[in-house]
Order: sequence, then structure tokens, then C-alpha cells
Amino acid sequence: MKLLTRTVRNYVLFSALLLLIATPLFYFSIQWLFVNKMDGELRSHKNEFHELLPLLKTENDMDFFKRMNDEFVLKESQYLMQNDSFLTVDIIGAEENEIHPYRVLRTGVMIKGKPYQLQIQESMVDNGGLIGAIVVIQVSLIALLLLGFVIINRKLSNTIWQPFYNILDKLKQYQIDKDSSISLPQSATAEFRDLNLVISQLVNRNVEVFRSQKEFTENAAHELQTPLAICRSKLELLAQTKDLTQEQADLVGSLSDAMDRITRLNKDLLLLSKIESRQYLSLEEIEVKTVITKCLEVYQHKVQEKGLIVELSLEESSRIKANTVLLEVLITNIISNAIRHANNGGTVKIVSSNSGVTVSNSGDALEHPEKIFHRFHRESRTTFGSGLGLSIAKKICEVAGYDISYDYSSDMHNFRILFMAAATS
Amino acid sequence: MFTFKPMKILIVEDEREMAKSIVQYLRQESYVCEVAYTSSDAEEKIMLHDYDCILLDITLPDGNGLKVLEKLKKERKLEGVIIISAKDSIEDRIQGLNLGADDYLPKPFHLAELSARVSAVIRRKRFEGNNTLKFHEIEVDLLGKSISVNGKTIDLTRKEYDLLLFLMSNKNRVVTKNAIAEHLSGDDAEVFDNFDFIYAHMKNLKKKLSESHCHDYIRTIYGLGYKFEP
Repeated sequence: MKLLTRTVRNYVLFSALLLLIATPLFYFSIQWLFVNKMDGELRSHKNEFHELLPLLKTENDMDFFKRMNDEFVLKESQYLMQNDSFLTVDIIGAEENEIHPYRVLRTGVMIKGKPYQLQIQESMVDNGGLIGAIVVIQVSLIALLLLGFVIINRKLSNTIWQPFYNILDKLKQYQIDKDSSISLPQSATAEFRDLNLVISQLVNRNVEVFRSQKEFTENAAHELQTPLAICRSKLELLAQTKDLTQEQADLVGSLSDAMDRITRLNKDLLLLSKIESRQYLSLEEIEVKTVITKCLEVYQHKVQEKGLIVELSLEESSRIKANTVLLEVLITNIISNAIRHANNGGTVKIVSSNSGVTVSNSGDALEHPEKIFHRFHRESRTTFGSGLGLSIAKKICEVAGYDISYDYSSDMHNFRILFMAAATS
Repeated sequence: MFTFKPMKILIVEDEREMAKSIVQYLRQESYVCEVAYTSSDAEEKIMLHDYDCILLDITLPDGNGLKVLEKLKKERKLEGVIIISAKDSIEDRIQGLNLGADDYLPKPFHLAELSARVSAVIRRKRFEGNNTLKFHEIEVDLLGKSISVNGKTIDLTRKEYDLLLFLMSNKNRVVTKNAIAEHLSGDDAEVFDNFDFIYAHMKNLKKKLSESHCHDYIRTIYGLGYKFEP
């Protein structure tokens, strides 16, 4: 939920509640005031009647009075009512067939020794209309006020929060491995200026850490090259020593194997950090088929040894613009991975076209397919790889703008590389 | 065929232990080796002597080794330079080769590989026009990439030819299976988890050589590698 919606929602909720409670309250209090006023009027009519009573001496006077004042109704009664009573009743009009609400005061009078019930009545139609009108006007006034309040608040908040959204947009676009610094929009508001400052500092610190970490990997791998080279050369010299026993030869052999692994690991780490720091940028027109066939040539002996069936479906003259080193490493890594992990006597399938390359190999399903591109993730420790081949492949795809994905279907591991993403950008 | 004059090699390498290893290994080939630890030292030696081959590390404490290369180019002494570098960047490789270096070998390398490259460079330089390499009954045609025994050409695959030439370039020395694997697979190829393919190539090579009545010069050192010895 947006911050703005949140504040406005509170306002609207409060307003609705207020309106809901205030409207009936308002209506009833106005009505009560009216009825009170009418009752007062009826009471004064009663007093008038008592003042007039001594003047009405004959029956004729009485009839005349009745005709002149139709709000007074006199009825003979069995007993004399002691108390006045006020009530609202519906009375059918004389001419029209309409029912109108009336406010009525009933009281008892003694006329010439006989008890009568006097009923003084006054129509409430006019008053009712007035109350309705007043309530409508009042309510719409409140509603308008609230609406205006919400609209103004919304507009104001939008302009006030604009710098915040601008900063947010900039942060969304920011990528630490691509941009070195972040340029934030200037703001006159103190809070946003502070925010800008804090974000800039944070970004700068992170860039510094990121860079030093990247440099560290590259430098560490680089610095290792020389001692590795010395180690390797000394081992070779050790192999030359006279009267080397078989036991010693085995030891030197094992050491050489371990040395090879360290060297390869270090080479891969160096390559990875070089790709990350974007040292391979130049693009050339490359024929994908040539790269694939060249790579297969290198691994021919392994294919034969494992008795693999290689199915090729390579589109002729499919050329893409790419960095030669990166494309070669990418394809080599994917193909060597397929050959390495295919089961003996299994199948390796390579399909290539202008849009991409798919390399598949037969084999059992993986335990953790989601970790397949992770550094140093290996399903088994028996293989001799550095554990970096596929993460290098992924990194290359990231840098070159290709799309790489892995899936497992009908006993085949499939690696799909899509070049198209880069072609369109 | 030619006057026997020992080959002179200059090793420009600031890492003393590394330089020592290279010298020790190449001496067995009866090369005369000199070492320069700095670029100024190297420049001085270049002015005074002629070398058959110069191994040049381009990351030196007192400047970039590529400057030494430029100087060599100016002096027209630019022959037989192999750049050995821990940097292995494409730019350095291209720049070095553009400046006239003959070869580029990234560290860490196998000494056997270095030795093979050195002999290739020297062969090109010294025996211009003579592209054969002879060893007793074995004759290697370097241009045609073929091998004949007792004057009869034997049919070898490319890998078998590479393997034999590699061993011959390191004769009298044990060449580890690791160095062979890297040499046969090429720079960028990932080496697989076993060396079965070397054994297969070696078996075929030995069989073909013995069929041509060639003396068995290749000795197997189990668990370690091979040795080509007369």
C-alpha cells in the first residue's frame, strides 16, 4: 500500500464514520428542537383558548369559534382529563385523501359544568420539509468539505513526495557491478537532502567494498601465479633427479596432479574475475558452428573413451557478434560439462542456430538442480573439475547479455543459451 | 652439418627461484644460460651480447618488460623472444606479438613446455631453410609435420606426432604426464580427470615406431611420465 493511500484512507475512514454518526444525530436533534417549539406553541394556544372561554357564552358563539379555528377540536368526555398530553398522530385530511402528521395536545376543560376533551392540532408537514432541507444542506456541506480536504491533501502529498519517488527510481536502476556512482536528483527539502546524502555515502562505501573485493580476488589469483609456477617447476626438476625410486616417482606424480588442480582452479578464478571486471569487450563476427566443431575435436578422445554418441544439428553459416574468447570459453565449458557428466555409452546432443545453442547430455537427475550454476557446487566429488565451469558460463552470459537456463527432461540434462537477448539490445 | 656452438639464452625474470629452475632445466639441453633480474640489467646484457633466445618476463620491478622488447626492436636484435608472463591478458599477448615476440607463454607453465618452445624458436632461427630434426634413425620433417624412421615415413596422427616431438624436445628428461596432457590439449582446454588418452596415444606411437624397427627410446616412469633417452 502506498504511503499516500494510507494517509488518505485514514482520512476517508474518519470522514465516513463522522458522516454516518453525525447525520442521524443531526436529524434527530433538529427534529427534537422543532417538536419542542411546536409543543410550546400548542401550549400557548391552550392558554389562548382558556382566555377566550369566558367569552363564548352561547352555542352560536361556540360554533362560530369552532368554524374559525379548525385546529381546536372539542369532544364531550366522561371525565375530566387532569394532565396535558402531547403526541404525534396521522390525520386524514378533509379534502384530499392524504395523511399528514400532526402534533396534538390533548387536555381536559370544563365548559358549563360539563367535562370536554380539547384537542389542539398543528400540521407538521411544513416543518418536516424544512428539517429535511436543512439536513441535506448540512450533510452535503460536510461531504464537500471532506472531499476537498482529501483532494488537496492528495495533491499536496504527491508534490511533497515526488523527490522521494525520484530517489526510489534512481535506486531501482542502480547496479553495483555496472555503475560506479549514483546521481540523485537535487531537492530543496531538508529531509530529502539528508536522504540523498546518506544514500550517496552508502553507495560509495558499497562500491568501495565491491571494488576491493573484486580486486582482491583478481590480485590474490594473480599473486598465486608466481609461487605456483615455482612449485610446478621445482616438481619437474624433482622428477629429473637421478635414481628416482618408484615410490618417489609416485609421490611426484600425485603432487603434479594436485598442482594441476590448483593451477586450473586459480586460472578459472582469474578468468572469472576478469570477466566480472569486463576485460573482454571487443566484438567480432564468429561462426558458432566452427567454435563447436573445434571444441569437439579437443574432446574427441574423451568422447571415444566414454563411448558417447554425439548428435549434432548445427545450422550452417550461423554467425553472431561476440567476443571470441568469451564465446569459446562459454561453449567449451558447456560442452565439456556435458561430456564429463554424460553416463558411459550415453548421448550428447548439440543444437545450434543463430538464436542460440542447446547442449544436452543423458544422465541421472540432479539432487540440487537450483544450485547448478553456483560456484564450487558439485554433485559428486569424484570429478576432477574446478567447480567453476558453469559459473563462468553463467557469468559470461550475464556480461554478454545472453540468457542461460538449465532443465531436466526425459533423462536429459539440457543447457540452453539464447543469444537473442543481446541481439535486440 | 653445422658448427657446434652452444646456444645462448637470456632469462629475464625477477623471481630468483623461477629463474633458477629455468636455468637448471635448460642446462640439461646444453644451453648456456644467463639471467637478468631487472629490465636495466637485461638492456645492458642485450647491448653486449647476442642471444639465440630471450625469455622475457614482462612484469619486472623496474618497469614493463615490453620496454625491453621495444629496445630490442630498435637494436634489430629481435629474434627468438618468448614472453613469459603471469599476467596472461589478451592485450599483453597481442601487444607482445605485435612488437615482434615469437611466442607467449603464460605462467605457470611446465618447464617441458618452455623447453619445447625454446627449441622451436632456436630451430627457426638457427637452421633457417633446414626444417628437419634428426635423432639417430628418426628424422622429423618440421614443415610437413611427418616422421620417418630409417628413411621410411611412418603414418602418425597429429597427436602422436606432437607427442613424439614434445618428448624429443625434452630428451634425457622426465616429462610428466601433466605436461604432456596440457601440451596435447592446448592452452585453453580443460584437462579431464585422467590421463587415459595419453596412454592410448603413447601405446599407438610406440607400436608404430617398433613396427618400423625403431629403437625404443621412450621409457615409461610409472605414475609420473615418460623419458626420451638414447
